[in-house]
Amino acid sequence: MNTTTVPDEELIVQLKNGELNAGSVLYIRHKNAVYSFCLRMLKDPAAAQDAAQETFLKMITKIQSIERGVTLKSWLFSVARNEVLMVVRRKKIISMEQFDDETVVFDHSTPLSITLQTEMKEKLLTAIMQLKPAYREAYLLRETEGFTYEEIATTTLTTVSAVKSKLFKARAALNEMLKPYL
Amino acid sequence: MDHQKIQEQISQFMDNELPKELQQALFRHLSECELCREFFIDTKTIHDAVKELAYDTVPHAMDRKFEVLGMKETASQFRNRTLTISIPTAVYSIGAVIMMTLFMYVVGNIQEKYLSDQFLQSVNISRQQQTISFDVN
Ligand SMILES: [Zn+2]
Repeated sequence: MNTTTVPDEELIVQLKNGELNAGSVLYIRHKNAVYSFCLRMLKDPAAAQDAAQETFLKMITKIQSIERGVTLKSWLFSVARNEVLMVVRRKKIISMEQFDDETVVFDHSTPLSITLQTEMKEKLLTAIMQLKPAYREAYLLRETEGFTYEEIATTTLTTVSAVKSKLFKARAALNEMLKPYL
Repeated sequence: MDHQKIQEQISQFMDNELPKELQQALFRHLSECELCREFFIDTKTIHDAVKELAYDTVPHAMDRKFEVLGMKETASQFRNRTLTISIPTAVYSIGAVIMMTLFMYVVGNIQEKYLSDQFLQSVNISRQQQTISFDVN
């Protein structure tokens, strides 16, 4: 059987029944998305690896806690976000307040050295990394993961109207940062 | 007109979350407002570009950790074991078992027919010797 076509829901059932191969398929399917999210939130490969690893360990050990109706992707990113916060707390990479601070949308202190970069993608990634975590996580979940406003609100423990506002502010900030290169 | 309100709607429009009834008013505003039109174009350009961003690849060390956990290993080893036993191997294996059984049977018969008396005799001798030595002690 070609496991790449088996939907997540079915693989979750198999993993719940102790079939580790199903966990392996789910890991392979989601590992880069989860790792990228952690990396873009933490800006530190080793810390991102810690957070992503913990996320998948929890997927295996706490698979029974995934309720019906919750997509694995949404569950994984909730866990990943939590792990990112744990790593931040443990390693003190960035101050915790930055996750809740909604007064400043992006970090003006680190200059965007776009002039050295030629690729638009690199410029864009650099600009996204400069968004404050509260905006960055909402923006990444929407733009790279395609989450609905509802899913972002659930994952980041906030309201739909707060998500709308964060996405607008993140986009306005990115427009401002990237304006000279558009 | 509140330009920020319009730009918030542009953000929702990018996410396909702007109700249809608001879209007409939005586009009417865009046709008249240079500022919001510029916001729309910039936002759309970035929105399209970000879709092209590739994921970062997980470090090999992470993949290895999950192999060590046995997820991949257990599954693949099991699969290999069941799939790689080819028909010739199976025939040789069964043949070997049959040959072994026959050999044991034949050896057993020979022992019974030709060696049993001699063997029993020797056992008896050693038993007698043990008894003797025991008695002496
Ligand atoms: Zn306007």
